[in-house]
Amino acid sequence: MTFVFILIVIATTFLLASPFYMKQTKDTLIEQTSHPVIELTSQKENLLQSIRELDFDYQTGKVSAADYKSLRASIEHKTVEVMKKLEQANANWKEMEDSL
Amino acid sequence: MEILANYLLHFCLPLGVYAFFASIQAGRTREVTWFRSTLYAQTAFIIFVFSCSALLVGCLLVGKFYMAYVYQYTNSTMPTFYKIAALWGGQNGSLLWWLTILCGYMAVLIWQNRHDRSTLFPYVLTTLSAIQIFFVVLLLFAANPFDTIPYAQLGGFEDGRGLNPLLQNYYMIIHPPSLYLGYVGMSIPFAFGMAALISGKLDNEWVVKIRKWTLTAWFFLSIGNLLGASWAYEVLGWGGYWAWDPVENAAFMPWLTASAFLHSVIIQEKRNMLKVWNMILVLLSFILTLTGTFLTRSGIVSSVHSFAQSDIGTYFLTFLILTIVVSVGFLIYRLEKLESKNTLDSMFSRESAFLLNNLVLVGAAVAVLWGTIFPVISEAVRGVKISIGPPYFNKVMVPIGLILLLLTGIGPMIAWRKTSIEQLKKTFYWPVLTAIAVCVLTTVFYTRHIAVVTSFTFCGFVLATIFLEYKKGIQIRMHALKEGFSQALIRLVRKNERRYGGYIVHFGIVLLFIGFSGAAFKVEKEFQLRAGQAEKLGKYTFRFDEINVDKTPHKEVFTSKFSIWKNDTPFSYAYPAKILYQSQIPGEPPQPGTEVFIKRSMIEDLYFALLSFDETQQTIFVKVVVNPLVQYIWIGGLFLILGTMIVMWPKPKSRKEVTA
Repeated sequence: MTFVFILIVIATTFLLASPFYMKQTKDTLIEQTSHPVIELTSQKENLLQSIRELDFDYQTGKVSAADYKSLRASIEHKTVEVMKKLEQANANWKEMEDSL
Repeated sequence: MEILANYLLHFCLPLGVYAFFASIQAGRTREVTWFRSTLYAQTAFIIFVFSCSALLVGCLLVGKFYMAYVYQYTNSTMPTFYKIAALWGGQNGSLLWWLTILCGYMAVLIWQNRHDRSTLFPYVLTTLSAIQIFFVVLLLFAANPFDTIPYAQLGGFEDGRGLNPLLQNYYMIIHPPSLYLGYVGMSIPFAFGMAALISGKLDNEWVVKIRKWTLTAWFFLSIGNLLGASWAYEVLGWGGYWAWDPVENAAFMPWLTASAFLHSVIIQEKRNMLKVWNMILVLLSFILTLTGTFLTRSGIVSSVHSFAQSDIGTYFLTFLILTIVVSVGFLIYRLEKLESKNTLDSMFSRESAFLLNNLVLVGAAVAVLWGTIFPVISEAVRGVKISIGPPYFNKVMVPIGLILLLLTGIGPMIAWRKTSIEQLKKTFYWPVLTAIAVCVLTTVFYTRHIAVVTSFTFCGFVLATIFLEYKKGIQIRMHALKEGFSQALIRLVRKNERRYGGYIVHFGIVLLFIGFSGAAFKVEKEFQLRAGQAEKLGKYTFRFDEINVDKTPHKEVFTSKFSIWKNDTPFSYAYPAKILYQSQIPGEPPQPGTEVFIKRSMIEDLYFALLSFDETQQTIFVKVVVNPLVQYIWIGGLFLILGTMIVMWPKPKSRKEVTA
């Protein structure tokens, strides 16, 4: 039993060390949401979702016509702002890629 | 096999420590090599823990009675499935079982995130490694299930003591695993929360990733709690399903905070608000699972359910304090980054209703915690252990529960962001009218018990809101998309499982409250009867006819027979039994067990529990209980499970449509 265990320990140690001596890749872990394009895309999706939900709340009679109008206008305004920023960020990103 | 298992368990300690530091290194340096090495270490750890559990099950099945755990919890006459269930029947095995489930969850987590290269994930593994290390330390130094009995080779250990008879029940096979799946499941959201705090990646990525994990843990906690209630009702023989016992409270507290999180996380996803609050709820849910385990396993609070206590309290307390200090420390450190830029648009919005629901749920958890630890505090401060028991909990939790029930109906009817008073009046017209009708009908035809009338009124209110929500959704689909009724209903639910599955959960909650309300009219009495003697309880008359004794080498079963009349009309027979399980150890007294008899109906249950049989006097002691509306609890539980399954149903990635 001890022999089997020693074999397991040796095999596990080799397994843990394998990424270091194999060095197949020099990849690094990445900050997925650090880029403004990702952040703004997520914001845009959230706002579009808010519009859909507001529409549904209006259809089911939970929001008055006046509130619906003003809330929709406010979310639409924010969405347009975010989309403009997103467009700018995309352009900057493309410019950077081209220069590289 | 126990020698190999012991070796593997020991090896898990350095392996866990390595995984802990390697994952920190991976997070710090962002080198994939460290990350891969962490994953390999974790994979090996998981395999070894699974092997340990499998080997322990092997020992239980083979009957290695020189091992203390096998001797204590099995014997040669136990059926195979109880021998397997003995894995979680005792302290040491249940801790290994805990670690095994954690490893099972981690195997799924690692598989799901095998291509994840974000800087968040290494710290998730760091946190989970820390939990693994704690459990391995506990198993190695305080509760090793592979320990052998000293001098066992000298003889006297040819058979074991066997599992507690109260645990020799089919609930034993499903209740503890589901409860543990719930408890341990809270580790994954906690790990993601801690990872977000450590790495500083406090956007919504971690929140999105843990939603399903939290729901899974909540789902199993719900099943575990319901099965526990059912077990108590059918096996323990005291006539009830919930006694506010510390073990029950331990499972209930994280359920409450997780319920709060499942609601408030929607606000973070939609409005990018309540980031601090959600983080607190995630940390709190895990801390409460540890607190509950510490309270019940350390022996500092007594519980009728504590089948597994030992001296592991110090370890748990140390880990608990460490967890609180580290998590609160990181929370304070990252507080500025967690601040939300958005604010509530109006007090009359769904966000506000959810916030209120959260405060009440957390308030309920605090009230349960206080009631659970009060005996400990009173003993520490005044030197007297005061048990406050069900009267305190009923007094505090009934109003809290009713407020929650009301909010269950209010929340979904209010729009996101803003609703005007005029609109509220229109929205709530039918639900309020239904509630008034139910209130009047209950008062006139059923009872004037204030809590029950309020409960039924609120139940009527919530049912009306659920009905209206479905009705409006279906109508919109039928009108806009020209769908038939059934097609519109199915598609409505499929297009928004979270919302409409949630309403089914709410429907289950309503049924649960109807069932709980019945407790107000519970009638119970103990009787001493001779054969042929009759007694009366409420509208039931019952006569003790006879008792049969069935003796086998392993147990003695005393089965009584009762004839029952309802309103003086022959109604049914009852056969409650008392079982004496003979110990396989010579000289040890037999262990008693109860087989209750329940005549179930949607109106009320008639419950018989044979408490004892005096052979010399030829008399029996029997407990008879009339339990109104209990069946609604189990049916409500089924709806709760069904609704949660709908919410958890995988969603195609491409789907963007949110509403009906």
